[in-house]
Amino acid sequence: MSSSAATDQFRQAFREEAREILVDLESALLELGEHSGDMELVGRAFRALHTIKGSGAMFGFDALAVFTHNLENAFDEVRSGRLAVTSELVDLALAAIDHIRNFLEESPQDYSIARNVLVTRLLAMTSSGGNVQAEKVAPRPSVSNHPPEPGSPRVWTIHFAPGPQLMRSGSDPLLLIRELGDLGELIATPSMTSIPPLAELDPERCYISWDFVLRSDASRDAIRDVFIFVEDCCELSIQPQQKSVEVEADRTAAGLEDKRTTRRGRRDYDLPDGNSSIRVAATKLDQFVNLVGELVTVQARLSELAVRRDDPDVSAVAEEVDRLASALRETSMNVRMMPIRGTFERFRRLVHDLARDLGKDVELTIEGADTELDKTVIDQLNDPLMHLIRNSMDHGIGMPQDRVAHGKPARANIHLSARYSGASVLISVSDDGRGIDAEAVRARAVEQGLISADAQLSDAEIHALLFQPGFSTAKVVTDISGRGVGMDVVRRNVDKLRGSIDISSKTGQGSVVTLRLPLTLAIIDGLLVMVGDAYFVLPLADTLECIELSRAEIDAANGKHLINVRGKVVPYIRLREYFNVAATPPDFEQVMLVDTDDGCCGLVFDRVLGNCQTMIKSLGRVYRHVQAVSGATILGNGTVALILDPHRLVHECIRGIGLRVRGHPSLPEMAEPLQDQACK
Amino acid sequence: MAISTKNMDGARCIILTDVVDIGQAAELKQALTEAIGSASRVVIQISAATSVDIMTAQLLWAGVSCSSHGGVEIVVEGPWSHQIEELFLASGLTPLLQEVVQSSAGKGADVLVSRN
Repeated sequence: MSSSAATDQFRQAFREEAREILVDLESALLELGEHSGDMELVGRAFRALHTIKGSGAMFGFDALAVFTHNLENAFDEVRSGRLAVTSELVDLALAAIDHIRNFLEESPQDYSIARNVLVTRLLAMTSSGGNVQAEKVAPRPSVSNHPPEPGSPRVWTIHFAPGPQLMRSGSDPLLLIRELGDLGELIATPSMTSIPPLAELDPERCYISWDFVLRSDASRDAIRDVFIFVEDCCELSIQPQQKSVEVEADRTAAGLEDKRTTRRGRRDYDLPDGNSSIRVAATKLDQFVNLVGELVTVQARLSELAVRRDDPDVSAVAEEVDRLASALRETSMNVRMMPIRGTFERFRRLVHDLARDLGKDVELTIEGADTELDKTVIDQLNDPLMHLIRNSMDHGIGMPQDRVAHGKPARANIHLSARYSGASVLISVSDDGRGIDAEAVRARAVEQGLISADAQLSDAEIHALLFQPGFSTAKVVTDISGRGVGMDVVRRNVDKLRGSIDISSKTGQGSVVTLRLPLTLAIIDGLLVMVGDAYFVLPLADTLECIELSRAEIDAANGKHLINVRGKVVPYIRLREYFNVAATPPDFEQVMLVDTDDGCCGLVFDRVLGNCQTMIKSLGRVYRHVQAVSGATILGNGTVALILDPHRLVHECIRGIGLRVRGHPSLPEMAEPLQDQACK
Repeated sequence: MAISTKNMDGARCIILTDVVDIGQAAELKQALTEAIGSASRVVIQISAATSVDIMTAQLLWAGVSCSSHGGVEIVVEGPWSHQIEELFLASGLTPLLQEVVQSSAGKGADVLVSRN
């Protein structure tokens, strides 16, 4: 790799890490707005700023480092009790974060005027007589985890304090420092604390001293040579740095710790050294998971072959491959799983800013932030959640005085939560606002010709109208909402993730929007079943138990699809009927009870073939409206099995929207795209 | 002359020209002290300076610190030269100069220094 490519790589890594740190910083600032005396939050903000500044300087983001320095100074003063945390400081810091984000862009916008105003306001807040810490010289990356080898660059810490006579000897410290910078990568930290008041200042004496960190292959003597003509009239120490080969401006242990942890680039950047991690491009990860998926498919073929051959040796190998593929699949899926915390935390800022703009008092509470989802799912959650929160803020939550008038606290609450439910994750956005005005929705739908004036709709059906493109009950379109686009975006994105949306609302009490999303979009543990000669996969996590359904029981129910399970009547769906499979049913069919949002329900098929690990393949855009099927997979014998989505299947049946009613394609049609792949 | 002064719109203006180094340090200190003692607003023009040394930066810093206690507004007018900027960057002093400038501007100055 060329040095230029390496530099770009390091800079890119810094960008990504800095963005993550900024999310945490933003969260700390917003919390600080609520708990201004929390010194732990102050420390968290300071460390984040210090890390961004130090790393930024190291990777050549000079303007970012200088700008961040001003904010860091402010928080240093907060830390030392010289400055109080006020809403003005928090707002300034949040605005500064936006600028730092801009610095991180490949082509930053020129916001220099706004930035100068921001810095001016920050400096006006802080005391101006403090010590200036500045750094940075050669913006070249220097990252290595290995101890220095003979001849390789070393890191030197240098202290230089010009004596009273140095300037009179005709030397200028600035020129010496420039010469020192020519030896390698240099970070300079000047100390201004010794500068006396103007009246007492000797104009021919330099009061400023410096601490340097120099990464260079120069020897101690070569470094000393820079100062050869002033050595007698200055304090000078040159020491090799023992613990780290990283260039770090700050001499403090905290500074060094920040540097190490920045490279880790996660929110827990104060983890001890034992918890190391590496950053991998998402595309590489996707490729890895795809290959594991292919391996799982091949493993299924091998198992099938072993059964057909009935050869103990082949069977033993197949079992071993099965075990390894299973472990590999588990590991690869875990690698893709990420806590949803980062996504949730981003919305603190949104709520803060919108509350300010709308003149509302809103608190965002978060629950289940450690719930993990597949990275692909998380990546696509941002927009839906943003629209839901904007809607809640704009439409759901009233002005403080209105809330008080209705007996509610002035401060409203938006609650974001995540929790597991079988093979899915439930993500809810709830508020304690006005709730959805069903009559207004209905009236608007009639006005727009979506329903007839005499249509009888359930609450769920009325709520479903909100997801119609262009539908809005807002009388005024604002820059926040009202165009009827947001909920449509929510539905589209959730559909893309094979998820579902549920809305519940009580007038005057608030609303809850719940997104049910699959944990992963790649590989699942499934149960392989057959109806006639068609194969289906049921996600194992959704299944409860399997029971038999006899011909006599079917007849006794008088055509109703109900079964008695230990005294409880449970409805069932015959996959044979749903998918229009023509084969004659066996005398005893199998009922798999599944746990869905709409309650317990049975899915009836002919026989269970066993567990299977399944790589989910998309059926393509043509079949994206087939709600009951979340994808397909290729089995070991080369045939295609459809992967069922029990939640959607049951939901559709309850709503009476059957497959045939909607004119869905037949099973062979759906399997066709994958069948082509299987043949290859 | 590297340092000259004039009155301008009710403010005392100190103009730095060409090379300003230790040879002019005493003069600069005197000019600063007089200006801070005699005017409520001091403008330091550095756009014509081709080179300044550490003493200049030090004096500017001390002048601004002093003025902040005396209620005097000090404005540093730029832009400063590329050579000055490079030298200050190498020494880690860019934030210092920025802070001097911004501290002045923060007290109501109508001129912000451009760093171009």
